[in-house]
Amino acid sequence: MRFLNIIAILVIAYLPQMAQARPYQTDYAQSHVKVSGTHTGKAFTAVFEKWEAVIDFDPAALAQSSFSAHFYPETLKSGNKMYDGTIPAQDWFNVKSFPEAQFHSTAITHKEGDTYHLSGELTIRDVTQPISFDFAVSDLGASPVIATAAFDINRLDFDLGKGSDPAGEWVSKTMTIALKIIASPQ
Amino acid sequence: MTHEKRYNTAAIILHWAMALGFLLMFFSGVIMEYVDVAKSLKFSLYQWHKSGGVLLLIAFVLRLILRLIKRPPVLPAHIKRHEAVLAKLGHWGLYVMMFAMPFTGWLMVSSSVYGLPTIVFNLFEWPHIPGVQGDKQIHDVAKQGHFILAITFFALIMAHIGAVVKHALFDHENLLRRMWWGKNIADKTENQTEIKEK
Repeated sequence: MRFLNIIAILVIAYLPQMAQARPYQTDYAQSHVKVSGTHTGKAFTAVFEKWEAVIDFDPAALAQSSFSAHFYPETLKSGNKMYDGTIPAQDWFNVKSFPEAQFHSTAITHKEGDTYHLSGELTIRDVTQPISFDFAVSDLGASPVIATAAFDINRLDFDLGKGSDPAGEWVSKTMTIALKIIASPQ
Repeated sequence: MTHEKRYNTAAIILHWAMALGFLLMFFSGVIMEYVDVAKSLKFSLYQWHKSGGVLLLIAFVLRLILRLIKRPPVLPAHIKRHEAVLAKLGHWGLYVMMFAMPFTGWLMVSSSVYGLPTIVFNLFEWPHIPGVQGDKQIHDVAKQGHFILAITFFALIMAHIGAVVKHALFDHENLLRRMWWGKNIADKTENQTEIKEK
């Protein structure tokens, strides 16, 4: 009986490690998260200056793999004073009430070759929506690893500019989010 | 004893610069609201209009200070009492408009749900009036006020110009000389009235 107890304690103690895929450390200086859209027909791109990612990824253990990220919209900068002054506003990211946006994966599946499919939940302001997108991983055997993805969201799904531009008259409803993550296995 | 016949140089510069400024503001406002132009041009016009409004508000403060510390030149002798009173009322009415127009515009921008900052001619940011962002009620009142004031201001300017034209045509008195550079000192023999606008 004592022997079984010892086995149970060991299993409980090591269970998190057994369930974990391979953790990666992101090189934020080389990585980026960009948001692109149009305003009065003119293209703009803004970059998150501050964001954090927690990556656990192993192609051989996709069920245990996960990706989470925290974004700080106040640091989303386009280089245009007008846009940068509007992004934090009440009707847009409302950074005073919602200083952080989040993404948490719910499933990662292999698609083909170096391409994987990621499903998860994106929370912007107080709205959480399921999203999914493909991402490509290169040099999996090397260090660092490069992961890229680009996908569209409808800003109105997250109440962004819902009061000031619900028809997309000035700012495009579709926003493209482009990720480039350079990370090394820990 | 001598009297100044014209306004001082600073007042003359402010008068004509603001006259041109408000004229441009009026026409840009009409285009922004009533003319179907490309979105990018409309957006630029809005930003230009906001920048112009800030400059006019600053110019108004300077002009008010100048007006309070420097007495305007006396009116010519033949100006009747009731005309002088009307002129005084008209001038102060114009002062009220010169403040109320940019102020209601500022209130509109500050209370707008858009949350767009005012970057004055892309040089510096002019702050919003605090505590009103996204307040639709205040925004609607400010917008309506801005519109009514624009019409009132335009009418007052027309009356102001009309008075100058009337005196030129019927009294053979060119009042424009008061608001332009030229000989500034007249002696008492010209028998000017001591009607003070202050």
